[in-house]
Amino acid sequence: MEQMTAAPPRIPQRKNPGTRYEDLYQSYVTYASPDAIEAPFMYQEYLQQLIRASPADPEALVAVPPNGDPLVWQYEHLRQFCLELTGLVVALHDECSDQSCPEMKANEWQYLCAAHPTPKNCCAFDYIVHTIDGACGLLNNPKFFPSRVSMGTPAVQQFGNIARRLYRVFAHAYFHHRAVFDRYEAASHLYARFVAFILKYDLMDKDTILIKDQ
Amino acid sequence: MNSTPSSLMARTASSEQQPTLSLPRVLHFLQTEWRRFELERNEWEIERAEMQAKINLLEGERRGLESVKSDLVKRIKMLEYALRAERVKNAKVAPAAPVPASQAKSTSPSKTPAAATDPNTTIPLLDVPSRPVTTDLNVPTLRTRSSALSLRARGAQTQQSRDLLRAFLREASALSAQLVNDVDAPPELPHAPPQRDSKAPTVEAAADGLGFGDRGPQSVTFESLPADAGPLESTRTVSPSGSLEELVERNESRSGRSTEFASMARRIRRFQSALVPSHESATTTSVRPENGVDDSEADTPASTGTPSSSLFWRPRLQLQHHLDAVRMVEFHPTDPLLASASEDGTVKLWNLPSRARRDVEPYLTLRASAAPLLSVAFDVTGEFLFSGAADALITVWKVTENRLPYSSYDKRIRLTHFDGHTDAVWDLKAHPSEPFLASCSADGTVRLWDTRLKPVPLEAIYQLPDFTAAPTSLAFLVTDPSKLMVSYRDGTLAQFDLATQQPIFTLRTHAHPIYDFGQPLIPPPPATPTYDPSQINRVVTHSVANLVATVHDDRTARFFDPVAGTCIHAMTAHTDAVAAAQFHPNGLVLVTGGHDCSMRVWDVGSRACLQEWPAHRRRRDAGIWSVRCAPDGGGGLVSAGADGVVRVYES
Repeated sequence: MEQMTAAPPRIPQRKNPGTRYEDLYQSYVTYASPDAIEAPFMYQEYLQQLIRASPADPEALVAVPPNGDPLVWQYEHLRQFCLELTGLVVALHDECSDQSCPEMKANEWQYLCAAHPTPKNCCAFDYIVHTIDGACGLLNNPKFFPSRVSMGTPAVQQFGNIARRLYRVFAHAYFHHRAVFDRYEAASHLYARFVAFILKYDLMDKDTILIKDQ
Repeated sequence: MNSTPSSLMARTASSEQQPTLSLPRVLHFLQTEWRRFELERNEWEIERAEMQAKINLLEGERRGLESVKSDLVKRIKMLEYALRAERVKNAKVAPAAPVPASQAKSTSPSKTPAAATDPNTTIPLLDVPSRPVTTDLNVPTLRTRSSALSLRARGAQTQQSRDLLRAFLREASALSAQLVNDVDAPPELPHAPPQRDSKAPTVEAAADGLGFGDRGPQSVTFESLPADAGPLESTRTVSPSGSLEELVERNESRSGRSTEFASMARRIRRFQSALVPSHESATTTSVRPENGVDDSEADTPASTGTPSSSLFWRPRLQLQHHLDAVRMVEFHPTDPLLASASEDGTVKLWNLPSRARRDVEPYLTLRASAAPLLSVAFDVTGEFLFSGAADALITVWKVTENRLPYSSYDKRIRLTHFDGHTDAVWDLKAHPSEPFLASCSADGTVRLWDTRLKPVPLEAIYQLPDFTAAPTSLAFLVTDPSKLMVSYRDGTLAQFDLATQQPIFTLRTHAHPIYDFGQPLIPPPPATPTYDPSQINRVVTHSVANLVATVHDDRTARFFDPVAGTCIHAMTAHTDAVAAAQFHPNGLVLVTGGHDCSMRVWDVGSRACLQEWPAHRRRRDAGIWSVRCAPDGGGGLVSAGADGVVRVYES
């Protein structure tokens, strides 16, 4: 919320050009709940603030914030997962190619890429890239998600689809590029958060969660 | 008769058993018939009026289509002529263009009605005597079509051929217009010197005149491009449709090239179907002061003759695919391609559709690092794309020809990365003519890289001695590309000589107090290590003149003279910090975007605000991060916002 008084204006909270990498978020004020942040990006800001504060605590991150809308919270989490999966894609860029993984498989399950008019048998890296891009497109599609502060029923039906497809990215990395997966997971704790998220909001069947040992 | 009325009635009734005539009956019949006739006549009158109205409407439509068609024919002819000229030039043979020029001159303009169906002849327009230049038809249409056509011929022609084409197109329209006014001038071959494409119609027509000799009284004066960018004289507009058709008619009657008829007809139909809507929209939006009519779109009563009032932007597309704030957008130098770099760590490449569509998806997403991406730039040739990230990584990507979404990801497009910076790379700029890339980073240095993929790409490092503030933005001086303007976080503006790596001058600017209407002056907050209100967010250079503009966090925009090294003007531009600016390629306006979520268009000469509109949603004190104008001088404008949306405007 703006606090424009006659006093000198406060330091603006944005990443101005010229800021150093470690100072990027220094001007950011910590808020106690999404209500304190100005709409419509309050949930996204709050989630990113939580992740910066405690990245390794999945339960705290997936818990619905005080006075928060659980549906919007799930939406923002899905957006954040798509965002952070960029790191996994970059890590897999050199490892996963159409020679090493010509099909999208995860431990005997094979998947067809749904980002095309007819499901196509993309190679694993293509599948990952298309899936994440397709999820971005869907999450930004005003037909399904016209608002950032409230979710309608067509929106909620998409959560399960998106979660299921994103899970396959993790599964493929786990079963076929284990070293990369472990390294990435140790740095970002993304998979732990993803599983906690799915289980809490019941977006996938338990038996489709392929990665058993954690 | 001594009968009661009843008996009379009875008798008349009995007499009516047979169809005999009786006076009341006849009268009644006549009356009903008359009424019926009147009704029918009214109906016929109404129907006739309707038909008349419909006829008028169709007539009007047909006239419009005729003019469009003649336009298109003209373009096609120009292209063909230019192609022939190119072939001739390449083959080094005497020009083979058939020249019924003398015939064209000699035959008197026949005033045949505009019923020319398919003018399938080629007009060798170069040899028709060139009369004084007058402004041509709808220039926005001209530009969109010429740019569309130039894109088709891109593979075959170089930049100069394109310029040649534009000159020919202008001349074609000028020639069509000249049939109305009859001033003689010695014919000359228009040689089109390489010149910047500009939006103003007068600049176009005038640049055309560079190839003309002396002209009549209504000519446009135009000094050479770098020297003067002041307002140009306006010229008359001429209605094109009638004159061109006459020209075409005459030529059609003279020379027939049946071999090209069918292809021409097909092309005309295609162009017509594709461009009629744009033609109509262009007619509604194009405002030219020479017309003196239809200033409904003009925002300010700018002096007649300054074409800047003709630029009025409307939203066209909203590109929503990023998951976090978009920091920078860039246009491809030649193709309708857009690159957007976002804090979500991706660069997305978008194909700009020719007409507005609802859901536009990027055809490619580039991921180089998990850190936020802060800057993006295209190489001057358009072959390479550079992205700068917050973790100091500059990645070089290849721009592919295959631009279909969700195609197989080709890993070879990630060519290399430039190592050297140790902190976030905030701005990347490609040299306007040489294969160099300049980057500035929060580690305090500006580095120049050679983009020809050498083993050691680093060319030079530019740094102010004993200086701690980080550079925020770069701009090459267009008038003198060996000089680089750099802006810093503490409000310093420096100019470096690329060769000697020494600063030529440094200017220190200070934060202005903040003025809110009705409030006392608020002094700017003191500078802290992480925030300085005098910070210059972006420095941009004018496309033609020696002018540099900077936009600051203290809401001001300032203009500098890069040669003298002085500040010319400072003005409050927005109601919050200004972060984005760009001079329009025609050199007449400066577009700025601020964190108050408004975009403003400023006239360079008068520094008046020509247009203002709200854009983007504010996200944690950030509104608009980047603004770009289309490099071909057309009406394209793009803004990148902190809400993750890229908005495209057209004028």
